[in-house]
Amino acid sequence: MLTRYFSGVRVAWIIAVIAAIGAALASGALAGAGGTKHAKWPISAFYHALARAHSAGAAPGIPGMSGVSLVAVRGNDEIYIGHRYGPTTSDCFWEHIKPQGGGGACGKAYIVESQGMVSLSQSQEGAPPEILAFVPDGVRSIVIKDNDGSSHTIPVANNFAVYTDLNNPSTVSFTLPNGASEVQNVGAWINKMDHLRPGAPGSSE
Amino acid sequence: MRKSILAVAASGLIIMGLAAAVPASAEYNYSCASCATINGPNETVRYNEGINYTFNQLCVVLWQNNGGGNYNTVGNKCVSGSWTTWTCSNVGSVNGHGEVYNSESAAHMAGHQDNRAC
Repeated sequence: MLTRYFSGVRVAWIIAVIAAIGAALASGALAGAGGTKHAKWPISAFYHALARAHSAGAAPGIPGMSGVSLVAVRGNDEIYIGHRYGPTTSDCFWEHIKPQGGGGACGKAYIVESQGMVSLSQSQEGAPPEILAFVPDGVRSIVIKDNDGSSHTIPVANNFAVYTDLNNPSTVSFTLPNGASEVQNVGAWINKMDHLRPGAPGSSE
Repeated sequence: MRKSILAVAASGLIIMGLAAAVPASAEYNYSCASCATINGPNETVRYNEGINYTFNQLCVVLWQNNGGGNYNTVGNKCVSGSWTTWTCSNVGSVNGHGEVYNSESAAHMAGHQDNRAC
């Protein structure tokens, strides 16, 4: 009788442990790569692309990109996301500034889906910096703080937030679905850009 | 006879001058095993892409060459969480070069510049 009781308890424990591990794996809470464990979340915009509002043509070509979706339109400019699969699976975004400018980036998928990606760019020397944040599901807004103490809260739509800052931005931050904060010191980038001098062609240091 | 020789020589000089003035228009790959910044050569460019093999942050620039060692940027982009980043000139093709740098420390980086449209 006693033996049968302990056997029942042991079986119940084993079932509970297996269920807990299964639930964690199913939710993606333990997903990661390279032996590291990161919480990560999906990026739904990959699966419901915005209708092409301003361009009837094909999306501009970026080498090696597939699964392209339009996620935002700003005036005549369009922002796309897509994947690259070589040499590793990457989540990518790029902005097409008509007629021919723009830029973009690719991050390893498990990094973008666990901590997002923040970009700051200047299309011309001295132009106001444009900030883009590509974030996983559950991030509702980003906060941009400027050097003068002001801050701007920019809503996220289609996993994207875009803002052209007429002041000097110092940080970009957002809260992930698990409550963790991501903070990017973009002020350091601006400082570097402002003081950047061209290296000699073909040189490195 | 002397006039013909002078004409041929002048033509040769003009052709050589034009060849020197018009930069090559070809794609170019550049890399470093450990550096904070790396530059491609001057040529006709409007696209520059960089990769950081060491950590997930990098910046890319397109420099326009105005002559006499004078440059200005026609695209400058920094991204966190990325391992490749690119920028395209919105003023079209320029004589200049791409640069890849990061804001952290020396890293294994590479760049690819060319004249492709974005």
